[in-house]
Amino acid sequence: MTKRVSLFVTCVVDQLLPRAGLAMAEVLTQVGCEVEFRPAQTCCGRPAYEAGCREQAKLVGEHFLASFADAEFIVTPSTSCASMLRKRLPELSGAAARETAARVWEFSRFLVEIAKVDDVGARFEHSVVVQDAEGLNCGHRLLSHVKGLEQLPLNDWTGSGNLWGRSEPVTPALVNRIVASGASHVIGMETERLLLLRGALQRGGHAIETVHLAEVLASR
Amino acid sequence: MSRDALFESLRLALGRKKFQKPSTPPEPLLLNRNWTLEQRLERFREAFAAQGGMLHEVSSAEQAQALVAELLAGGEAVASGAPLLAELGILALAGVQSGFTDAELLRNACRTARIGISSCHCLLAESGTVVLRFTPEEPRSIALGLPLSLIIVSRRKLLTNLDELLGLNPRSFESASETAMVNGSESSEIHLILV
Amino acid sequence: MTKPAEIRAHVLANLDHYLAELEKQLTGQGGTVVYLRSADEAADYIELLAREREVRVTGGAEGIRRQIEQLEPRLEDYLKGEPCVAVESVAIEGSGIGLAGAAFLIADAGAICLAGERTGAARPRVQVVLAGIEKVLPRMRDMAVFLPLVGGSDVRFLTGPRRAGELDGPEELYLILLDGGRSELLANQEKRDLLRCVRCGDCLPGQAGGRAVTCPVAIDIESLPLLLREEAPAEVSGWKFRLWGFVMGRPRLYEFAGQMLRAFWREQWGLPAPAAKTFRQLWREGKK
Ligand code: SF4
Repeated sequence: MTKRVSLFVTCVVDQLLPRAGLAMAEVLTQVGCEVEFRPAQTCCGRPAYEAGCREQAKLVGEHFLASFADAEFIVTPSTSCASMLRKRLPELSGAAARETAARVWEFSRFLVEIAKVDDVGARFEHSVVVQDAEGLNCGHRLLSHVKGLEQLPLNDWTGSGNLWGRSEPVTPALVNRIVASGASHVIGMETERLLLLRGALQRGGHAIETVHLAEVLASR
Repeated sequence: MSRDALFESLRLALGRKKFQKPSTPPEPLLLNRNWTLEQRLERFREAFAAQGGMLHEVSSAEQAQALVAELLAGGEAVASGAPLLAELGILALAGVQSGFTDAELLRNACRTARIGISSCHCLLAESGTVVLRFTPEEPRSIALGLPLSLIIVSRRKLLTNLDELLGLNPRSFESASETAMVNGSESSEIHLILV
Repeated sequence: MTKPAEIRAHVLANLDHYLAELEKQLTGQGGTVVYLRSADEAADYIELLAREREVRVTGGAEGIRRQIEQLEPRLEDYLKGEPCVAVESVAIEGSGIGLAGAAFLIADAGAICLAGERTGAARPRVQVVLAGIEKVLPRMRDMAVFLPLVGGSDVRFLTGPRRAGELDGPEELYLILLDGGRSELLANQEKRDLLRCVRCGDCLPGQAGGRAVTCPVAIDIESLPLLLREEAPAEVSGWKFRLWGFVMGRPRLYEFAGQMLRAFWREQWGLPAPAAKTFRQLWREGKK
């Protein structure tokens, strides 16, 4: 049965990484989903929640709920936004949110657990370093089936952009390690960190490209 | 910060009254394994060796004396006042100083000796731990202060685990000024003689 | 809740009681218990003690303060993973005064538990132990569940200074109980649970290494970043987020704000330039 997927691209992807959003739509269509985009969507409310402004987070969260009330599967490219919606929003908005929130899926998990595909038939002939995502993310599993991909080790680089103090910040040392690895691309599982890295690499004048997991999976 | 001000603010934060008794605290579950002596021995040998300890097992006072003499190799040792050491005739061996009642004399003896001979409170099989309790008879500097710690103890003191020790008599800790639980040592060699 | 979590929660809910019991018991065994507000106060206290006992202190009060912060870092700093050197026991000049950080305090036995690798190495005349006020546990038998969480090859239970007849051991034992903002955490309903932390280190960066971590005392590790945030000045972030919330609740306004962002974007922000077109623009174009 065809799965009806509603994209929640997140404000970050909408404004700053639109290619990741398009790639995500492409991959989902490829694996046989019916994909729609609801223009009423904005943000999940996480910036306010993390800054401790619960009221505003709740307000924006409720806008999300209203926009996606009747969606079958809500798929998003960000692990942190997915966890904000699934776990935190019900805390703020109560039982009503829980039902919608349970239909939110992070992109890679949706592919593996719901669409039940590990191999999307992608080919990406580059040497890359991969950003680890904290929390549930099936990115590595999907990447292991991508043809031509050479994954270079990058010692103890873990963490996503969502947890302060617990994930490695984007420091000059991290940038140096990435440059030293000899990779041509950095693959990010997490949109925000990807963005920070892209900024740092550009400022340092390095020609390393930053791509989201979805872009890799969409390439042929 | 005055003590009373702190306590006042704690009670305020917790909504408690002065001298209010707490409810009964949740009980920790103590793990009772009921291992036989043989099982305990087997486990202890393994765990103790894994931490770099040397275990010797003897069955008589003569064997114990011979072993200690061998380890001494003509060198000097200081021994604690543990009754077991006297019973086994360790204190009578050549090169073994004991019977300290003066802190200064003990310090001087420890400066020249290489080996400290003592007994211990008990052993924990599961973790390979040596539990030492420091008393007037068992000074710290003899038990753990020298390059080689030689601990002599009866097999009967081999317990299963920490839970058993705590279950037996948890309030025994206050009876001495310090209890040490040692699992191997980076700074000194530990030999254990089980009698 | 797990058993350790239950016990820790019980202690925190009755913290004044267990501190008082610990104090009574340890004092009865010859120890001295002191309550101090901060690392600064503790450093001053120890410096004074050193001067009275005629022990020379090399780094002065400032040196002591640094050692204190390493031995007993603020809970928030610890959980943020700020680097603190793992020293279990340090001696201030010779073996005059020894400083150690406690792993646990046991109320019924009046005991201080030190856990580490070379905990008993220093043999000072005066032993000073630092501990946050939250570190207390009700009974010695609780160690059956708590000791395995912190480990260490050299564990000591100090139950007082040397007793009559003993030939060695510290002549004096001081337990410095540090508040350091903990009583405020305790008063904060949302953050109180943080004080359950037994500093097992499982959730710290480097330790976690990408695997899922469960906290032994059931602290919601996922919420840690939120709980550990320094309070933002309410007014500033308040109006900013009210404006933000207003915009994010209105898709058209949001789209307009996106265009404004493009018009006014500056390189100095340190973020890459926004894409020329937003996802929604590209989507609309693609669908036409
Ligand atoms: S896992 Fe829990 S107890 Fe251990 S350090 Fe982290 S918060 Fe503290």
